[in-house]
Amino acid sequence: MTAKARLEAVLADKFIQNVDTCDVFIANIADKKQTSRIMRQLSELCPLEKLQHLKRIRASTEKGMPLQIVVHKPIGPDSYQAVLEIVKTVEGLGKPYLAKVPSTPPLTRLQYNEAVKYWPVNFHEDKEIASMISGKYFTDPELLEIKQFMKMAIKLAHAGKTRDQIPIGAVVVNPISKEIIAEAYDLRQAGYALQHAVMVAVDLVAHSQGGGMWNFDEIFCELRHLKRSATENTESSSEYLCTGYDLYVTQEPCVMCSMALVHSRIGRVFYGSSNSGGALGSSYKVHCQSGFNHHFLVFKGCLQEQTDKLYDDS
Amino acid sequence: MHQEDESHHIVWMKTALCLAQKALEQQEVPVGCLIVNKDRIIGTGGNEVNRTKNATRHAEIIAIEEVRDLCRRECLVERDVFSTSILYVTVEPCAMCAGALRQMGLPLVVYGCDNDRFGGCGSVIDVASNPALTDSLGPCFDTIKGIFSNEAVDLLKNFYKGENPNAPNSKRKLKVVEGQESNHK
Repeated sequence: MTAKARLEAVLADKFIQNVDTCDVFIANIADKKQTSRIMRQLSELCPLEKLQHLKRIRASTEKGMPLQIVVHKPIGPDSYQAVLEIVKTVEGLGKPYLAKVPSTPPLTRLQYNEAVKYWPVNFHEDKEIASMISGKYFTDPELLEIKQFMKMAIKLAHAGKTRDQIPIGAVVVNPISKEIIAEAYDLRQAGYALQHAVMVAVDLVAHSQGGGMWNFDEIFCELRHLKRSATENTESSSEYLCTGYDLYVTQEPCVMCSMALVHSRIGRVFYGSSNSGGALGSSYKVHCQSGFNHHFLVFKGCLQEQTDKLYDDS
Repeated sequence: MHQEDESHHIVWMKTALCLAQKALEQQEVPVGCLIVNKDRIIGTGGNEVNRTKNATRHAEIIAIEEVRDLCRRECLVERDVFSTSILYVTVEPCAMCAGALRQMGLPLVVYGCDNDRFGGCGSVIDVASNPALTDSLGPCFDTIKGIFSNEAVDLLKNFYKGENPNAPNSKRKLKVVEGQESNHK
C-alpha cells in the first residue's frame, strides 16, 4: 500500500503548469437567432487559428445577458481598429472589448477546471496521463512487482556500501519476461568518477548482449548480468541496447546517467529518492525533454521511506 | 582568444576530424575527439557504440579513459592532468558527455558543429555552464565552437545517408521476418 501511495509519475511541465492566458476581443450577440449566421461569417473573416481549443461562444454568466463571441486575437496597437472594421461588416455584433482566455488547450482535468474559469474550452482527456495523475496507472500486482525489483536495488545499494561505495543500487529488468538483465551499484569510490550505478548497469546490459566495455574487479561480486548461451545470443539479436527494459535505481540519476538512458533507449525508470542534481525531475526532465530523440516514463518515490534512509547522513 | 591559441585549436581540430573519418570507416558515428595537455595528445577517441553494444561509448568517454590509462602508466595525478587539458571534438558534446567532462574537471572544450539532437552545451540543454550542477558534477567548463563546423557536419551526413547497421529494424521489416519465420533457420 505504501508503494501505491508514494509512486508518482514525473510528468512533463506542460501537464502540471498553471493555465496561461491571452487577451482576445469578444463581442456580444444581441439577438440569439442570428448566432449561427454570425458564427459562419466570423469563422471565415477571422478563424481562431491557434486558439482552436476555445469554444467560440459562451452564454454570459449573468442571467438575461447576451451571448458573447470571440472575434479576434489582438495583433498590435492598431488591432482595435481592425477588429472594429470586422465587427461593422457582421450584422448583429456589439462593440468589441477585451477578455482573457486560456492560450493553450488544457491537457489535464485540473487545467481544464482552471481554464473554464476564463472561457469555455474543448477538452480531450488523455486517459493514460489521467491514470498517472490519479495514481491508478498500475494494478496492485504490478505495484507488488515494482516493489520487489526496487527491493533488489536497495539490497545492491547496501552491498555497495559494504564495499566502501556510495550506496546507490540499480537493477535492469525485462518487464515482459521478468528476466533480471543487470544488477549494479555505484563504483565511483573505486577510482573512476564516471562509474555511477546507472553507467555500470548500462555496461552490464551490454555485457549480456556480448558487448560491454568495463571489466569489473572481482571484489564487486554482487554485480551481475544475464548470461545467455551463444545460440541464444544470436537468436535474440532483436535486442538493442536497453530497448523495452525497466530500470530500478535507488536515487534519481544525474544528467550524465539520464542522458545515457536516453541513448540506451530505456523503457521506464523507477527511482526512490530525489536528488537536487538529478535530471529526471529535479534539475532537468531529460526523459521528456523536447529535442531529444527518445522519451520514456519515469516514476519517483518508489519505496522512498527505505531509499531515503540510504542518504540520510549524506 | 589569442591568435596563437586559435591556430593551435585549428591544428588539433584537424586531427579530431581525421579520427572522425576513421570512425566512419568502421561504421561508427563519425565523431572524433582528442584530449591535449601542454601540446601533447594524451588521449583520443572515436564512437564505439556499435562495437561495444553500449550506447555510452562516445568519443569523449573513450578519450577520457585513454587519459586515465596514461596517468596510471606515467604515475600522474589524474585530477591535475584533466584540469590542465583541453578537449577537442568535432561535434558538440551531448548532455551525457558534458556531465562526464564536468566530473573529470576539464576546463575547456573546443568543438566543431552544434549537436541539435543531443547537445549538452546549449543546443538542447546547457549542462556545460549550469551553475546549479556544481555541487553534484563539479565546475562548469568553457566552450569554443565553430572550428571546421561544415566538415564535421558533412561527415555526419555521410554516415546518416547509409544505415546504422546496429539500429533496430523498422516495424515493417520485423513483420516480414516474423511472417517468414518458418523459412528461416
